[in-house]
Amino acid sequence: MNKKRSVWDYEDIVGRGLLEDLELLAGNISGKVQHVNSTYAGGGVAEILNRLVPLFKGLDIETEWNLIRGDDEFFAVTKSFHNQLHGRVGGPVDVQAHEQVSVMDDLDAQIKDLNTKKRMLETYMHWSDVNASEMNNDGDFVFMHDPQPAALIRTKEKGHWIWRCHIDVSNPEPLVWNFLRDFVSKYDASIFSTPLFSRPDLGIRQFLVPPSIDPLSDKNIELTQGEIDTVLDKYEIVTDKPIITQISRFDRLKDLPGVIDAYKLVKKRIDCQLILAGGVAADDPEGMEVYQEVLKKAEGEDDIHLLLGSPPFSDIDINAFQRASTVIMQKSLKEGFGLVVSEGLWKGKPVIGGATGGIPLQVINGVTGYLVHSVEGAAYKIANLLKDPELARKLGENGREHVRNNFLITRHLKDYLLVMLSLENPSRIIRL
Amino acid sequence: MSDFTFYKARYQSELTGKSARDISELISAMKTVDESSIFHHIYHALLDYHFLPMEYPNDFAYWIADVLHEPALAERLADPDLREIHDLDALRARIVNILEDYVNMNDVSGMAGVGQEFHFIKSISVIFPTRHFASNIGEALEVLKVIDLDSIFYYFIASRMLGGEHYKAFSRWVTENNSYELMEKLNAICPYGFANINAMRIEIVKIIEKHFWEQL
Repeated sequence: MNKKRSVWDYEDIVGRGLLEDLELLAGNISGKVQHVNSTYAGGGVAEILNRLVPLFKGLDIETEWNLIRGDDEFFAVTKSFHNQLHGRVGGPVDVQAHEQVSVMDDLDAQIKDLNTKKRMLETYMHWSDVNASEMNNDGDFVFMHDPQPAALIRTKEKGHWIWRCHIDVSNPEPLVWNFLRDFVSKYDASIFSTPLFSRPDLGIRQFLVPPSIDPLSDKNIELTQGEIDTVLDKYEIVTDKPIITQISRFDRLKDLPGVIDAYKLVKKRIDCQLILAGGVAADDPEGMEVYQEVLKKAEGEDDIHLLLGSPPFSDIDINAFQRASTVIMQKSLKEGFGLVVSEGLWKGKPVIGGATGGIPLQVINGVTGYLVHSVEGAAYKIANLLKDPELARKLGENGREHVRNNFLITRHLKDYLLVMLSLENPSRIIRL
Repeated sequence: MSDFTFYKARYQSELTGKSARDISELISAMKTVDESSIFHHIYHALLDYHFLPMEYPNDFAYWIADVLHEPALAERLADPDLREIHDLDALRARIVNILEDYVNMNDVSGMAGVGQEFHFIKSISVIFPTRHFASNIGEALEVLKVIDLDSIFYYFIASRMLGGEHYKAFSRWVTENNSYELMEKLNAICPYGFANINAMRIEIVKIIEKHFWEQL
C-alpha cells in the first residue's frame, strides 16, 4: 500500500478551494498516521481505505495501513460481534433491564449462551494479545476501524487513538457492547457516521464523519453512452422504456418484494422496466432463499430484470445500471448508511428510499428524491418522476450537488484532517 | 492603505452528548448547550447548496415538524425577527422564548421514536488565511465574486455570529477605506432569509456595486 494519489486529480469535480484547503490543513499535521483494520479487500472499510490512504500520502502525510491477523474462529467471532452490535431489530434495549429479563427466561439456555459468549470473548482477546505482541502501533494518530482491532488500545504508548466506528451501535446486544465499551472508552475520541449510530455511554469525544464515495472509482466514474450500452447488451436490457433500478443484496431488509409491488402498480399505467441487481454473500444462507422468493414474485414479468451477481458484478456494470436508470430505488426497511444512495444521486438520478438509517441524510424529501413508507407511496413517486422528466432532472441535479458537498471522498479526507487538528488543539476555535 | 487578507473556516461536527425526545427536553437542552451547537443547527444548512430552498429554515424547525408533527411551531422558527439577531446568546434566548410561548398555549405531546431523537451537534471551527487579498474596495469586490462560499459564510455569518475578530477586521478595513456607509449596508444584510450562501454572495456583490454607482 505504497501508492500515492494527488488530491488535484479531483480538481474538475470539487474545484480548487477545497483542494487548497486540504493541502493547508495537511501542512499543519505533524507525525505519522496509522489506519488499522482486518482486511485489505472486501467490505466498505477496505474499499474506503484503499482510496483514502493514497490521498493521505499524496498530501505528504506519512501514512501506514496495517492489518490485524486472526484465524477463522477469530473472524467468525468478529462477524458475530458485528451482527450483534449492528442495530438489533425491535427497538431500544436498556442494558440492565435486558439482562434481568433474560436471566428469568430460561436458565439453562442462558448459561449455555453465556458460555458460548465467554468462549467468543476469549478468542477475541487471544488474537488481540497476538496482534498486540506483533504490531507496532506507534503512530501519532492511530485510527482503529470497527470492533476487530479495538482492544489494541491496551498497547497505547503515545499519540492520539481514534476508534472509527463504521457500523450502527445505537442498539447493540448488551453483553457484546459492554465488553467492547471497556476498550473503546479508553480511546481519545471516536468517530461515527451519523448521530443515529452513536452511543450515549462512551464518555469520550464523538466526532461525526459520514462515509463517502469516490467519483473517480469504477463504480462512479463518468461512462460514455457506448460503455453503458455495452453493459446493457451484456444483460440483454433494451432501453426502449424507462428503467427503475434497485442495487442491493438479496436481503429481506432491502424489501425487494415491496419494490416489485410498487413497480407492478406503476406498470399498469406507465410502460417501464425494473432492474434488481445484487449479490448473495457466500456465508449468507438466507440470501439464496430471498433470491428464490424474489424470483418467484417476478415470474411472468418480462420487464423485470432480476440479476444475481454471481460472480459479482463489476463496478462498471453497477455504474452502467445506475446511469441507464430514470429512477433509482433504495426501499430498505432497515439500512446502515446506505451509500449506494449517494452513488445513484451522484449520477444525477432521483432516488426513492425508505426513511431508515442513513438514507434520509442523502435523500432530502422533495429536493433530491423522495422518502416513502409504503408500496403505494413508492409507486406514486415513481409515477411522478416517470411522468415528469423535468422534475426528475431537477431532483437529480440537486442530488448530485448534495453529494458533491457532502459525500465525496475529498470531504471525508478533510474531516479526518480536521479531527486530527481538533485532537491536537482541543479548543472550539482553532487558528492556523 | 494596507492589504486585506481574506480568511475562511472549515467546520468539524462533534456530538455534544445532549439529545432530546420531546419539546421539553429540547427546550431544556437548548438553554445549556454550547453556543456553537446553536450556531450549527441554525446555519449549517446554508452551506449545503441546493437549487431549491429548504422547507424549513433550520434543524430545530425540521425536527419539530417531522418528528413532533408541529408544523405551526416549526414555521414560527422562521420568524423574521430571528434574522435581526447577530448574537448567539440572544438568538438562543429568542428561540427558547418562541418554543416556551407555543408550549404554554398548545398541547405539544409529540415524542420522538427510536432513532428520531434530536442530537445536539457542535461545530469545531478551524480558521485559516486564503490566498486572496485586496488593496482597495474594488479589489475586494472582485475577490468576493470568486472566493469560496466558505469564506463568504465565514465573514458574513460565522465570524459575525461567533464574535470573531475577522469580521471586525473586515469592518474596520472597509471603514478605513472611507466606506462607512457601505459597511452599514453590509452590516444590514440578514443571513436568515437566504436559501443558500451563493444567494447571499449575489446580494453582497450587488450592494457593493450599487454603492460604487452611487459614488460616481
